[in-house]
Amino acid sequence: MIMNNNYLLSDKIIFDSKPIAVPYNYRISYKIAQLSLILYICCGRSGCSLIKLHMISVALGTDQEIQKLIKQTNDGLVEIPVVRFDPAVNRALLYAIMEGIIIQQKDGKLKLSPLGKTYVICIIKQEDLMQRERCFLSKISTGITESMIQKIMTDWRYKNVAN
Amino acid sequence: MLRINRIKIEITTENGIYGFDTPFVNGLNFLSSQENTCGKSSILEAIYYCLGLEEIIGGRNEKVLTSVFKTTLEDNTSVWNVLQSCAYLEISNGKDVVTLYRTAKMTNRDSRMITVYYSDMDGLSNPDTLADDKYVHFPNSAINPKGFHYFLEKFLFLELPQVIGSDNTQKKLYLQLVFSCMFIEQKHGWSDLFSGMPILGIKESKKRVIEFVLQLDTLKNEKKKEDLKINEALIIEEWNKCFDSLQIMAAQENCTIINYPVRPNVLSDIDVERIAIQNDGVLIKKEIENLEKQTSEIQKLKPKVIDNFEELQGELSKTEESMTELDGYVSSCQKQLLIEKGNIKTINENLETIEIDLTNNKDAARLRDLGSELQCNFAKDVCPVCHQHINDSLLPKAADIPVMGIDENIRHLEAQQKMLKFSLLSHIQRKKELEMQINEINDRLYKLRRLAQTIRNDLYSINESYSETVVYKKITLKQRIDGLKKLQMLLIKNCKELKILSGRWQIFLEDRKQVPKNKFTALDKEKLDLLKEKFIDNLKLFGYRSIHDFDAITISEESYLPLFEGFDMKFDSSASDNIRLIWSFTLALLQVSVLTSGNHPTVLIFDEPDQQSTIISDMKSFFEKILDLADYSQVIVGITIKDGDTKKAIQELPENSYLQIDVPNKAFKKK
Repeated sequence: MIMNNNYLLSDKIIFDSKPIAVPYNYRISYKIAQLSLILYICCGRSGCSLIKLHMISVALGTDQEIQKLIKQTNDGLVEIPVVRFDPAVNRALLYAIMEGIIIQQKDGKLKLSPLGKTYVICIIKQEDLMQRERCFLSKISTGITESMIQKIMTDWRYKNVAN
Repeated sequence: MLRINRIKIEITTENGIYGFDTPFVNGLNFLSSQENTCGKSSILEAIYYCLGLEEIIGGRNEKVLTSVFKTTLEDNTSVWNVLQSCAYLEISNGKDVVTLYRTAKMTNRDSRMITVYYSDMDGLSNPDTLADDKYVHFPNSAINPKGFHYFLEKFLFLELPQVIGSDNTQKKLYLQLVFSCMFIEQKHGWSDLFSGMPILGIKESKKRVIEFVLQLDTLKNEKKKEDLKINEALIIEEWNKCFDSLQIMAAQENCTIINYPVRPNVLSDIDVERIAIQNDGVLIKKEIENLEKQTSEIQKLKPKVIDNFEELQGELSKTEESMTELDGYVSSCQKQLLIEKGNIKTINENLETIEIDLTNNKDAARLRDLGSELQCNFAKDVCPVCHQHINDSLLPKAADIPVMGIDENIRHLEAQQKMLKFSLLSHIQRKKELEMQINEINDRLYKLRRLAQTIRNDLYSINESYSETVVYKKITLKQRIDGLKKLQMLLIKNCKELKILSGRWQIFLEDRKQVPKNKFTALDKEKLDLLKEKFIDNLKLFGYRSIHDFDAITISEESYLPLFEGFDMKFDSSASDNIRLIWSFTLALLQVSVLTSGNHPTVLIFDEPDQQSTIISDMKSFFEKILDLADYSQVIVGITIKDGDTKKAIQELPENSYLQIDVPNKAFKKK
C-alpha cells in the first residue's frame, strides 16, 4: 500500500504525447500550392515529368540549392545537378491528383487541371503570398526542358553504372 | 461689461438721407412702437451688425439685415431705392468709449470691415479722432490683432478660453457664441434656450458658453491637471539626470552609489545624508582618509633607493603576484566573452530561421484557407479519396502521433521567437558586462605594470639615485584622491539638487491634492446651486405653471441646462411657459454672474418678449425683475404696444426708472 503512494515507482505512469510541430515544407496545403506553382510557372502545355518536379521542389528547400539550380539552368544544365527525391512530394502529388488539382497524362507527365489553374491564379492574385517561391521560380521559368531531363536520365545510365 | 450708449443709422436713398438716432441708458430701455413692422427689429439688428454678431440672427454680413438696409425704403406711400446704408454704434466698457462704424451697402467698402473710432459719436467729426479698421468673418479674425472680435474681446476685458473644436483641435471660444445667450432675437430666439447660437464647430458650445459666463473652474481644472502632468515628468527627468551624472562619475572611479532613492520622493535630511558612495564596501570619505594616510607614509620613506631595497623587493613580488591573478581573471573573462558572442550569433541565426518559418507557415495557413474556398478536401484535413480524417502532414507515419495544426504551429513558432528574443537580450547584457569588466581589469593591470616597471628600474639603478617607485606611487595616489574628492563634491552638489527637487516634488504633491477629484470645485457647486436657486425664483415670479413641483428642477451637471426630472424642461413646458423659461434662465445667468463676478458682459437684448400671448401681470413681473437688476446691467427690450394692457404694464413701472424710446410709425425719418 505504501508503494502505491510512491509515484516514482508506480507502474501506472502515463505519458501524453504532445502534438509535434510540422515544418511548413511538409504541410499538405503548402506542398500542393508549391507544386501547382511549379507546374504553372516552369512548365509548358505538354506537362511536366516527375523528375523535374522533384528537382525543383527539393531545391526550393534552401536558398543555396535553388540559387545553384538557377545558375545551372542558365548554363543550360551542362553540369548535371544532383537530383534528390523527396517522398513528401509524391504524397502531396497523390493528394493533389485525388483532389483534382493536378492531372496525370497518359504519358505519365503531370499538368494542372482547370481547378488547379484557378487555385494558382488565386494565389498569384495575393501579391504577398509565397513571394520567395514565386521569385525563384520565375527566374527558372521554362529553362528546364523535358529533353534536358531526358539527357540527365540517360547520363545516369552511362555514368553511374557500376559493373 | 458692455454698454450700448447710442445708435445712429443712416440710409441714403434717391430721396435724400433717412436716419434714426437714439441714446440708450443703463438699466431698462424700451424700444416701443404702436404697430408691427415699424423698424424696431431693424434697429436691434443694426446693433448686432455693428458688433459683428449678426450670426445670431442667422447669417453673415448684410444679407441678414432687413430690406431697408439693402434695397428699398418705404416713406408713407412712396418707395425709394437704397443707395447706401450704414450704422454707427457707440459702446463703452465702463471706462473707455468707442464708436463702431459698419456699412451694409456701400460701393468700394467691404461690409466685413468695421471701423473703430476711439471717441464717442459726437467726436467723430474731430479730425484728431483715431480710427482703426478691423475685420469680421475672416479666417482667424478671433485671434488676429486685425480681427474685430479680437479687439472686442480685449475691449471688454474678456479672456476667452481655448476649447475643443469638433475636429479635436484647440479653438478659442467665439464671441458670437457667448453673446447668443444674451441677445434673444425675435424670430428664432424664442424657440429654445440659446436657440440663436450659431454653429461654429465647437464641441458642446452651449456648455462651454455657460462655463465661461459663470467662470466655472472646470476648464481651469483640466488645464491645471495637464500642467501637473508636465511638471511631474519634468521632476522625474531631472531626478534621473542627477542620478545618472553621479552614476557615470562613480563608475569611472570604480565606486558604487548606495541608498539612492530611484524615484522622486519627499526626502528628509536623514534620507539625503544616507546617500553615499562606496569603494569595495568602504565609504568614500574613509577611502580618502586611508589614501591620505598612505601618502603621508610614503612621504616618510626615504626617497633614496638604497634605503628601502628590501621593501622594493617585497613589493615587486607582491605586484607580480596580483598581476598574475588579474591576468588569469582576464583570460577567463575573455573566454566567457567568446562563448557569449557565439551564443548571440547562434541565436540570431535561429531567429532568422524562425522568421522565415513563420512567414512560410502564415503563407501555408492562407493557402489552406484558399483551398477551402475552392472546396478542397485537404484543406479540411479530410482525405480526398476515403473522406477520413488525415493529419496535415506529409511526414511518414504521422498517423499515430498527433500533429500540430498550422495555427497552433504558428503560435508555437511565435512563442519560440519570443523566448529566443528574450534570451538574446540577456546574452547581450552579459556581453556588455563582461566587456566592462575586462576593460576595468585591463586598466588596473596597466597601472600595476607601470608600478612593476618602476620598481624594477629602482632595483637595477644606482643605490644613490631617487626612487622612481616612490614618485610613481605618490602620483597615482594623488590622482586617485583627486578623483575621489571630485566625486564627493559632485555627490554633495547632487544631494543639494535632490533636496531642491524633493521640495518641488512636495509642492507638486500638494498641488495635485488640491485639484478636485470631482469635476466641480466647491465654488463651482456653489455657483451652480445659485443658478438653480435664481432660476427657480424667477420661474415662480414669472408665473411658470407647467410644473408644480419646483423641487424636481435641477441644473444638469453635464450641460448646465435646466432639467425637470432628468429631462429637458422644454418638453414639459407649454408654449408660453417656454418663453418664461427663457426669461428666467437668461436673467438667472446674469444674476449669478454678477453675484459671483463672472464674465457676463451684463447686457441683454430681448426682442418682443411678449410672445405667445403671455399674461400681462407676468410680463410686469419680468420688467420689475429687470428693474431690480438695473444698477449693474443694461437691458434693451423691443416691444409692440398694441393693446392697453401692455401700455399699462409699462406705465405702472416707477417713473424715470426706465427709458422709453418711441419708434414712430416708420423708424427711419428723412433728415
